Amino acid sequence: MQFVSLYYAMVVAVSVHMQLVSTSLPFTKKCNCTTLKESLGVFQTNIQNSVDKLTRQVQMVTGAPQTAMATGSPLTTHVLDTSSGTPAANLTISLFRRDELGQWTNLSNGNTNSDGRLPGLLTQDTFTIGLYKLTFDTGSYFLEKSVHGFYPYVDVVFEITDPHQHYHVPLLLSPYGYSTYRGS
Amino acid sequence: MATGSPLTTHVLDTASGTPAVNLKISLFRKDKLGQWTDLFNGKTNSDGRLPGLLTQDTFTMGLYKVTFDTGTYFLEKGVNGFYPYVDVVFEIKDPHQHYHVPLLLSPYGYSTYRGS
Repeated sequence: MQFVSLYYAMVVAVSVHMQLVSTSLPFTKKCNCTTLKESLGVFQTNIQNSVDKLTRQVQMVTGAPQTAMATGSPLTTHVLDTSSGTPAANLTISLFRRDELGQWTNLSNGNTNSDGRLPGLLTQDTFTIGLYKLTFDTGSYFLEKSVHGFYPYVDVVFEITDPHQHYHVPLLLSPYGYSTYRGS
Repeated sequence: MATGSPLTTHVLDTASGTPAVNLKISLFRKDKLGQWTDLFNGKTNSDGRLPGLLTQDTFTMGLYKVTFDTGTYFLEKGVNGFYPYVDVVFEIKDPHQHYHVPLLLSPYGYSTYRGS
């Protein structure tokens, strides 16, 4: 009896997996499978396809760092929620540059992805010497998690003196404390 | 404690391992129109502290901002710093509590937390 339950549990698990895999990953086949063996076969193929694709992506990043850097934003950020030990996903970030009149000009806005990052903040040609400000909407982030935070938002103001360098401005965040530094 | 400020700060220069002395600090409160009202300005003492930021009767619920003039501080030390200033914006919900908002500072990084 237990073995039969286990078998059906596995079939359900694989079927659910096949549905998830077919909608969320590229290069996957949808499974019109009737047997567990068929499901497992397609499952294996899909996993291999995903691994191949990820391997190619890793090779792109590690094998040609200059290419990746040349096309990526010269300014990057990364928000980590140190109270939960996870990236801070779906946190709104705004980037500003100070103009000649001392006003903050909004350059870009977005929400962090599931890894707590926000790619595409800037392009190399828009990256000039000057004062920049990143505003992290920490108030909304913690409110959505039903956690009380001390800081309604976090502003980090920094100076770019050499736009040919890469600047990484991460935020380690928790409800009652945060830190930031110039990373790489 | 009854006569001290209900809001205190402390700036430590973690690059040199000493208190950040003579660092200018400004305190603001956001008014009903959304503007920052200047409440107090001063420079840290030899222990990196700035007593007398507020009195209990002026300490109301609301949004506050402490601006640390880190740019001038490092410039005076002949050190190049990444941050021209540091703003810490926080919310006071219970003015009967004591709030300690320190800054651990170095030229290319800083951290702050709600202390006691």
